[in-house]
Parts: sequence; C-alpha cells; structure tokens
Amino acid sequence: MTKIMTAHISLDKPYQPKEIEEKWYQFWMEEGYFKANPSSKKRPFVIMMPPPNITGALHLGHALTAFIQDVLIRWKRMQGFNTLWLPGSDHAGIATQNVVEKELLKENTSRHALGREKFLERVWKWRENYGRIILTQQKRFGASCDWSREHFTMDEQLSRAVREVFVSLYKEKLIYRGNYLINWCPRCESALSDLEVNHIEKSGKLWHLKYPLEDGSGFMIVATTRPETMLGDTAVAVHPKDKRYQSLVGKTILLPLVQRKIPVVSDKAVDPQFGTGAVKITPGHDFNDFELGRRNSLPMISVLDEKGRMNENAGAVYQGLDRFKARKKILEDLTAQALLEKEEDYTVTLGHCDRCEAIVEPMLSTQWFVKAKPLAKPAMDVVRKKKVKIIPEGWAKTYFNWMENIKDWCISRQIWWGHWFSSALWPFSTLGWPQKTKDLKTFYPSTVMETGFDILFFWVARMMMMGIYFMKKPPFASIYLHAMVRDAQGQKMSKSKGNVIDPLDTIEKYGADALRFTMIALATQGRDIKLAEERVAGYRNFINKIWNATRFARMNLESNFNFKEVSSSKNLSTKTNF
Amino acid sequence: MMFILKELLKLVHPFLPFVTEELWHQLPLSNEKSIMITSFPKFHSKWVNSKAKKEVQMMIDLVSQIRNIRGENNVSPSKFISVTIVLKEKKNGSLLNSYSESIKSLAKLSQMRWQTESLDPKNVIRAALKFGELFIPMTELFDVEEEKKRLQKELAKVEEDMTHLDSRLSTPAFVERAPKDVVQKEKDRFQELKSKKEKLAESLKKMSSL
Repeated sequence: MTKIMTAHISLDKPYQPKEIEEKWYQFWMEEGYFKANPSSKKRPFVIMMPPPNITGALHLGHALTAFIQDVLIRWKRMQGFNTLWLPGSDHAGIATQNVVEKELLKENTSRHALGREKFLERVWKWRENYGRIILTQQKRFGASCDWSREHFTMDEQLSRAVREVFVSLYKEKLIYRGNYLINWCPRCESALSDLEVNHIEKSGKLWHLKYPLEDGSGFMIVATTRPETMLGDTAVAVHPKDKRYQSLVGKTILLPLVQRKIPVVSDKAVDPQFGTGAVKITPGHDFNDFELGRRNSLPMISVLDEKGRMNENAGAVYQGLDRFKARKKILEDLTAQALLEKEEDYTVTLGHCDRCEAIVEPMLSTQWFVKAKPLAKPAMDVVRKKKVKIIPEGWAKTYFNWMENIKDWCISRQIWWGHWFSSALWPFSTLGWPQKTKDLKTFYPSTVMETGFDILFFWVARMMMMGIYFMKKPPFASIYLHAMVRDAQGQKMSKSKGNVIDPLDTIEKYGADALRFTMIALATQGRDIKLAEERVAGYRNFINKIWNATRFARMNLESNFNFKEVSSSKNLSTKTNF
Repeated sequence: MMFILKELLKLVHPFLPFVTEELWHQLPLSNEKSIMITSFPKFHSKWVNSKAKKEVQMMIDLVSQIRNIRGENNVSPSKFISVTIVLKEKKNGSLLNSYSESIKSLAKLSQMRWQTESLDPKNVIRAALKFGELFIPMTELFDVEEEKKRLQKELAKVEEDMTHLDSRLSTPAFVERAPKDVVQKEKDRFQELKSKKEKLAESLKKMSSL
C-alpha cells in the first residue's frame, strides 16, 4: 500500500489551517483535478461562475457564491459527473471607469486631462491588479474551478461574441436607434439603464408658477419641483373631465421668460388632485411628459447639455448656467415678474446615478435599443413550462412581473472602455460561441445558475433572453438564488458602518474550511445570512474535533494496519455495527 | 471504525476540502492520491441495522437523561453517582447489562441497578424513559444543607437585581429618554429575573421538605 505521507505536519497539535491550505490547493492544481473534459462520456454538471466585477476585491457575498458553487461542484465531481465550473471576471465598463476616475481625482488629474489612450492604459493596469487579487482570493476560498477556461468579458473571444450579437440583432431589427428619453448622468456623461438609477426620496420644494394666457384673460397655475425645466415646456395639460379647466383647453399660454406660445391640452394621465390640476409638460426632460407629448404630438425640446448645463434652447440669459444655478436664477426672475405664486416643502423622489450618486436627468438622446418584448416572451415561457426552475419558487412571480412590464433595453454607453451586454452572453460566449466548439456542444446549457437574488433582472433574466435567442435553448436548467450576507444584527455590511467582515482576514484567522462551513450552514433558503465572527470560531472548533478524532484513530492503529473494505458486518458487535 | 472515518471524511469533503485532504493523507486509508477524486458515499439501505439503531438509541436516551439531571443539579463532572432503573419489560435488563460498562463510563456512574418491580421512594429525582423510569436519590447529587445555602444565596442575588432594575424602570427620565430597544431589553430582563426567582423559591421549598 503506497501512501503520500506528509510527515512534516504533525497530528500532535490542534489543527493549523494555514500550514496546509496553500499546499493542497497547489497539489490539486498540479494534478489537474479541476479541469473539465469535453470528450468525456460522463454526464456533465456545469456551473458558470457569476463573473465578479473587477471594480474591487471580493467581499463575503462573493465568498458565499464561491462556497455554495464549490460544494456543489466537488460533490458532483465525486459522484462521477463531468463537472465544469467556469470562472472569470466582468469588466463592468462604466463602474470600472468610475473607480479609476476616483483614483485619478486623488492624483489631481482626470480622464479628460489624461486623454483616451493614457486613460485606457490606467484602466488595463487596474484590471491586471484587481484581476490578480480576485484570483488569489478565489484560490484561498478553495474554489475548484477550471482555471484553464477562465474568461474576462473584455477578452478577444467575448468581444467578438458581442459584435456578432449586435450585428445579428440589428439585422433582425431587434436593435434600433431612436430618439428616446433616457436616464443621463451629467457627471459620468453617459446614458444609464433603468437599473443603474437609484430612486431616493429627499425633501425638496414644490413651486407654483403663474403662466399667463395669451389673450390676457388670466393665469394658469402649475406646480413643479424642477422649475429650470420650464424653459423646455411645450404645453400645459389638464384632465379632460376637470370642470375648472374645460373652457381653457385649446387656448394658448405665453410661456414666461422665453415668451414661447404653448397650447393647453387635455390628457387622461393628468391627476386632477395634484397641485392645481394643471401641469406643465416638458417632454424633453420627464418620462411621463415624454409619453404625454407623444400622444399629443407635442414638440420636444431639450434645454440641458451633456454636462447638465443649460443649452442654447434655454435662451441666451440662461445658456451655460449649471442646472442648479439656473433653477435659482429662474426663481428670482419669476419672483421679479410676480409669477411665482408660492413655494412649499415637498418630498421629491430623485433618480441618482448608481455609480457616482449624481442626480440623474431624463434627457433626449439618440441611443441604441434592444427590443425587449420579443425576447422576453420565450424567456417567460420556459419558466412557465418548468423547463427552467427558479429556486426559491417565490422569485418566479417577481420574474414574471418584471418580464411582463419590460421596457426596451438601452444598450449604448458613452464610455471609453467597455461594451454592454457581454455578461448576458456569458453562458455561451465563454464556451467559444459563435464558433461551434466541442466545449459548447458538451457544456451548454449549464446545469444550475447560482447567484444572489439581487441580480435576477440585471443579469440572470438577460442571460435567459440572449441564451434562448442565440442557442435556441435556455442557458441553464435551474436558477438558484441565495440570500444576502449581513452582520450579526441583520444590517447590511458597509465600509461606512465599519461592520464589514473581510473574507481573507477571517480565513487567515480561522482557516478557509471554517468560513466555508459557517456560511454554508447559515445559508438556508430565502433567509438573510447573519454572520458573526463567533460563529466562525465555533465551526473552527468543530473542525478541530474532526482533527482530534482522526488523531485518536491513528494513535490506536497498529503499525502494520492495512485498510480493507468492510464487506460483512456479521462478525461485529451490535455497538460497532451502529 | 476506520471505514466510518473514511466515509465521513468523504462526506464532508465538499464543505471542508482542505482539512479532509490533509487527514486523508495522514491515515493509511486508500490508494487514491486525493480525497477529491474518490467516489462520494452512497446510501445503502442494507447497511441500516434497525436492531442496533434501536438499542443504541435507548442507551443514548438513558445517558442523556442522567447527564441532564447532573447538569441541572450542578453535579461535578468528576463525581460518580448511583442510579436505579425500573424497567417495563424484563428482557431489557440483559440489554442494560451488556451495555453497562459503556453507560457507566459515559454517565459517570458508580452503580447502575435495574428492577421490574415498581418503586415510589421519597427524595429522589425521577425521569421517564421509553422503556421505564430512572431514579436518582437526591443525596447522590448534592449535600442538602450546602444546596439550601447555595439556593438562598442565589435567591438573594436575584432579588437584589430585581430591586435595582425596578427602580430604574420606574424612573420616568430613563423610560422616556433611553432608546426604545434598551428599555425593552431591561423590561425583558426583569421578567427573566422574576421567573428565575420563582424557580429558585420552588427548589428551596422542595429542599426544605427533605
């Protein structure tokens, strides 16, 4: 009987994870145990690792993802499946650009000062650095993924897949260019998707403005929380059944400050209970007004430039002013003309950029869109027909709800680095698509998509749409959504609260196995994972018990012990049998 | 035993990959170069020995009950005590005999008697078992006078704590100004102390009747 005995490590003391973890990871890698075989006759079991963003080091949420997936993969591998766990990272275009820009700010320089080429160099340097950090972290976690198939969403193969998808969707008329109201971040100078906008309630003001009728017969009073947008007003609207205003519909208003003639229109979308029941309509800077403007064929005027300053349409007096300075000046000017009826406190819901927290402006812009409805329908059908199972089941309802109300998907980005929707192609682009590779044939679709519930729409739903469209098969058989990691009190971990538990620090102290076991034990379906360091210490002690039990067993072995498989239990006592 | 250890290591390997790999190599268990590439244990229904399962479960219950009673009465882990078991069926007697060495060492017993005739002695702690009833004389567990003193001392401490807490909770400034969850915590603690007091008083009463 041959054995590799690791003589230098003694069992005569408590378990010291540090001494052995690195050694064994190295050993597994050298033996090639993590590698998948596309020619194997065994049944495949495939997990596509959700590629972490390269914006920073991995946190406990990533660790949990890695732990759950590694448990599944190791288990299935031992059960004789042909396992593939494909790792990688996401370039996260705009987000990475922003963290690099923050770094530049510390050095008193900026993206624009550096210029495109120098800036891109910095971004790639960042990618190299954090790519390496992330890799080291995942190895410490014990992740048994197939590093020979590692991918980056901006690498050559995946960028090619993005181009292929774009061209083919364009040819199928599923991608179009349109004038559209989009979320615009004046700081990032980029369009944002709906999901990149955080709506936050803040205390603000509601201003009541007096708009004179052209015929001099009086005023209409409209309420607004963003007076600077009045320069782009193209109508005043009332509800068709509002008796107060029926006689005014069709009349003309002389828009103050710019003296533009705008009509009074009626539309069912107007809420007679809001303010005075008459509302100013700014199709160029408000989503509801944009729809109303379309219905009533109103002109659309944009009064802001890409940096959030008033543009030439705002009139010479205001042109060039920052949006908030313009607001102040407009209020002063209206007051001077006795056109400000009143001002009251009001809670406003403002869209904030998910990346830089600047207030987002709805803006008219020519952008590229993917028609979402035709892609969403089959993605709903496969879940309805249980071809794709969502676990926990409760999320299926949320999934349908979102898919049914899906809007066209704005895919253009005003960025220097990156492309959009590469992550949506992850389950097949990483296997070599559009080429017909052996990997693609063997490992698509994957078995389970395991990820946090927070990216069900952001990512999972989009992989479903793209996977079904391009591969004619949904990208995974089931979707397993795990909960969020919180602190012992159930609060979100954040740097500012100082309650962050760093996975590597914890591994350093208690060993990777202890952290793995703790998080998996806490990860029951649908509940937040409340992690306290004591729990990890407790499971470290549990591991030590296994260690000691083995120690005890070895102590009691005779030196010539030869392990034989137990074939019969007949000649053993009842107690031993148990 | 080595078989069980080997299968156990394989079972937990997906959760604890590092330590199981290390232990795998520390034991002369198999020819496999790594635990990672061994085959995962399968459930074998023919390996389930229902007789062994039932018997050992009985013994586990017995030992747990004795340990519970020792724990509740603060009996030192090094102290040996004697117990009596009244069995519903005589045939379990020989079973108890066959396990007696294990039970005695696990539950720290100086003596384990069993009988089938019913018993109704005074001054014992009794506990129901599936197959009978367990009796432990109180004198085996503690010194009655010492225990009375201990209980009185503990009771006095609880009463003192309650007085403190009560005066705090009846201060309007505290109740109004302190954060709600802090006030609630203190109120909860008061209730806890109250029920502890009742329990202590109950035990003292029992003790005095000895």
